[in-house]
Amino acid sequence: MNLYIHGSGILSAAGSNDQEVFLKDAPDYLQDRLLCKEPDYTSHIPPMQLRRMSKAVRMGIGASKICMQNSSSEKADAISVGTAFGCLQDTEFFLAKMTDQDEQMLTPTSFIQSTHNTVAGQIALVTGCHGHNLTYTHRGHSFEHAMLNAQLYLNDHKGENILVGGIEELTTSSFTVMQQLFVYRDAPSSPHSILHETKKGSIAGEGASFFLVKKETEHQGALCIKDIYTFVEKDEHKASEKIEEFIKRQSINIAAIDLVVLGMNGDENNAAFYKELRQNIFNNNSHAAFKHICGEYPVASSFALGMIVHAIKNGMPASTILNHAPKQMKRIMIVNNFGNYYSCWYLEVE
Amino acid sequence: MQSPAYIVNTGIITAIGNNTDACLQSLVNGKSGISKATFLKTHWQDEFPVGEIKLSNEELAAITGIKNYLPRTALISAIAVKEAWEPFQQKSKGLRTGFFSANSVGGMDITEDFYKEFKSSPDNVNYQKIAHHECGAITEAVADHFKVSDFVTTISTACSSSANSIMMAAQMIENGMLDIAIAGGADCLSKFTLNGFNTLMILDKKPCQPFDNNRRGLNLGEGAGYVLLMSEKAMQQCETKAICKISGYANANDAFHQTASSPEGIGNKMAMQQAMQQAGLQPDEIDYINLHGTGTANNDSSEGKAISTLFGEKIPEASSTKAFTGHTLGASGGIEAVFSAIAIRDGIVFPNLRWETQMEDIHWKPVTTVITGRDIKHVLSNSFGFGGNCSSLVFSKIDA
Repeated sequence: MNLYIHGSGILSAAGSNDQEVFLKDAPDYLQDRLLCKEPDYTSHIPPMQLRRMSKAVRMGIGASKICMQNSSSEKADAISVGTAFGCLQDTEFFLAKMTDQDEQMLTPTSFIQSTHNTVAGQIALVTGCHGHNLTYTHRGHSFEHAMLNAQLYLNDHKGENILVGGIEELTTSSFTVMQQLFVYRDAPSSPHSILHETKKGSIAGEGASFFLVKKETEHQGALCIKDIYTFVEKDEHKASEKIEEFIKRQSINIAAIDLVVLGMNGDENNAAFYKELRQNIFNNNSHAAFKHICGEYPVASSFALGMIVHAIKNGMPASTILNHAPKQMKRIMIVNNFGNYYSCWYLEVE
Repeated sequence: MQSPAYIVNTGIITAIGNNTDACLQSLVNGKSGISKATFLKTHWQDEFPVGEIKLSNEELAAITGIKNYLPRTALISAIAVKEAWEPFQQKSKGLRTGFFSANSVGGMDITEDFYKEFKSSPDNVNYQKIAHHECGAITEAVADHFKVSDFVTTISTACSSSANSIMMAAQMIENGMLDIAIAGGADCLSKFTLNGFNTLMILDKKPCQPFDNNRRGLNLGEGAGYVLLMSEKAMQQCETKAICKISGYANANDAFHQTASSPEGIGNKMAMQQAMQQAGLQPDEIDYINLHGTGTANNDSSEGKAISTLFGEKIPEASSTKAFTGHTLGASGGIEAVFSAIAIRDGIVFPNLRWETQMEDIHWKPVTTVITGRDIKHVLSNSFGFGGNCSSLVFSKIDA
C-alpha cells in the first residue's frame, strides 16, 4: 500500500493537535459520553460561515484546516472521507420539523446539510478543491475504506496528494438509540473502567481526524501505512485468528512489532478478542489503548492513527500504555473493532 | 492494469420494470413510470407525482426471500442484486467477489416512522426498528443475504453515489484486488427526501420534462441498479461473455455551492473530460450520452452548457431517462449504468420523454424518439449531486 502521512488534524474529546496540551494529561472523567472539545474555529472559518455549520461540518473543516497547516502542502488535490452516520444533527433537525409540522412550512437549510457527503463537499467548497471527492458510509469500516480509496486514487494520479478523514458526530438522540442497542453503557464510566472492566457497551465518542496522504515522502520519520485489513466477523475467536493470519501475510516477526495500539472499549462483547490478542498473539509486545481518551465511535481508528502520528514526535502518552512503553516507534499495529467490524493496520516509521 | 472491468450482467428494478427486460421494454415503448404515489404515504400525495415501484414491501421481500422488516431500500437492492448475481453465484467458487453499494438516506423510510414514536414515548419504542438506519446497514443486509463477504462497502455522495461505487469496483478489478464485483446502488422513496426537495422548490407537479426550455423541476423516483463486473479470469471460469467494459471514470467536484451547480458546469465538464481522457477517447467518439438530466432549471442548464463546451458542434445523441424512472438519487448512477450497457448491447438510444421546446441556453436538443439498430461503441453516463459531487462513467463495446 505504502501511503505516507504528511500532516494530520485531530479534533477529539482530548482537544486538538494544534494545542500544546494535546494528549499531555491523563484523561479523568466519570461520564457516559466523551464529546469533542472543539477549538476556537475563528482562525480557520469565517464567523458567518461558522454560524450555519453543524458540529459535524465544523469539526470536519476544523480538522482538515489543521491538517493542511501542519503538512507542507498548500492544497489537497482530492478528498476522501469516512463517516458511518453522516450529518446527524441536520438530519434530525429536518426530521423533527417534518414530523412536528406535518410536512408543511419547512425550510431547506438542514436538509441541504443533511447528506452524508456534506463534510467532504464543504471542504471542497471552502478550499476550492475541484478534485476527486468521495464519502464512505460503511459502518465501522468507513474510515478504512476512505484510506483504501486514497490508495486507488494515488495509483492513478502519480505525485498528487489526497486529504483523508474520519468524522462522526454524536447527538443526544443517537446516544440514546445506541445506548438502547447496547453499543453504549447505561451508566457513567471512568477511564479505568473502560480499560479494565467489562460491561454491556462502551463509552460514546465523536471526533474528526484528517490526514494528508501521498505515495512518496522526503521526510525522515514519516509514518507509512503499509497495509490495512478489514473484515466483519461475528465470532471473537475467529476474529483474532484472522488478525494472526494478517500478520503472517506481512512477513514480519511478531517480536519485531514495537507497539500494538488496541481498540479496547470495555464492552463485554469484545473483551475476549482483546484478551486473546494480548495474551496469545502479542504477548511480548508493548500494548497501548485509545478509546478511554476518544470514546467509541465508528471511525475511532482515525483517532488512533492521529495519536500515533503525534506520538512519533512527542512519545506515547503515558496514560495510553497498558503494559510497558515501546522501546522505539518503528513498527506499529492498530487493531480495532466497532461491533463486528474489525480492522488491522500495519504501519512503519521510515 | 491487470484486467479491464467487464460488465457481464445487469440487475435493475425501477418504476418502469422489475428487471432489465421489463425496463428495456418500457424504454423502447416510451412507457413512463411517473404517477401518483400509492405506497409512499405523504401529505403531498396528490401534489407531486413520483416514480414508484408498484409493489408493497411484503411483495418486494417475497421476490428474494430477504426479511420484510428491512428498509425498502434493502428490499429493492436485493431484487436487483439477485438478477445480476444469481446466474453466476454457483460458478464463482474460489473467486474473490465484492459488493459495492450506495444509497443516500439509508433506512430513512423506517426512521421517519420511528422518530415520531421515539419523540413521544422514548421508553416504549422498539429500538431494534432502526437498527438498519445507517447507509452501510442496508448494504450489509443485502451482502449477508447473498453471502458476499470478500469486500463490501457503501458510498454516499448524494445523487452520484452509485456511479462512484461502480468506479471503485472497476478500480479494484483493474488492480487485481478482486475478480468479481456487484456494483451500483439503491434508494427508496421517503417523506424525508420528498419534503427536502420540496423545500428547494425543485419538484415538478407534473411529469417532468428534462432538457425542455419550460421544464419545471424533477420527479423523485425509487429503484436499484447494479452491474456485475468481472475480470478476464473470472469470465473464463464463469464461462460468460462481456456485454461491454468500463473504459473510463472520473469524479470531480464543482466546489460552487452545497446544492446548486455552477452556471457553466465546471465540475460536470471536468468529470466528463477526465472520464473520456482515461478511456483514451476524443469527444467525437462518444455515440450516446446518458444525461444526468434531472429536469431542474439549474442542472439541465449547467450540464447542457458543459456538454456544449466539450463537444462543440458535434453533440452525440443524448437523452435523460429520468422522465421514465424519476430521479432515483443514490440509485440513479447504477440504474443508468444498466441502461448504458443495454444501449451498447442492443444498439438502442433511449428517448428523452416529453421533450417539447428547445432550451434557449444550448444549441442542441436531446433524442426524442427511440433509435434502434445503431452501432453504439461508447456511452458516457453522467451523475451529479449535492456537495458538488460530479461523476462520469464511460462504457465501451469490446474491441471498439
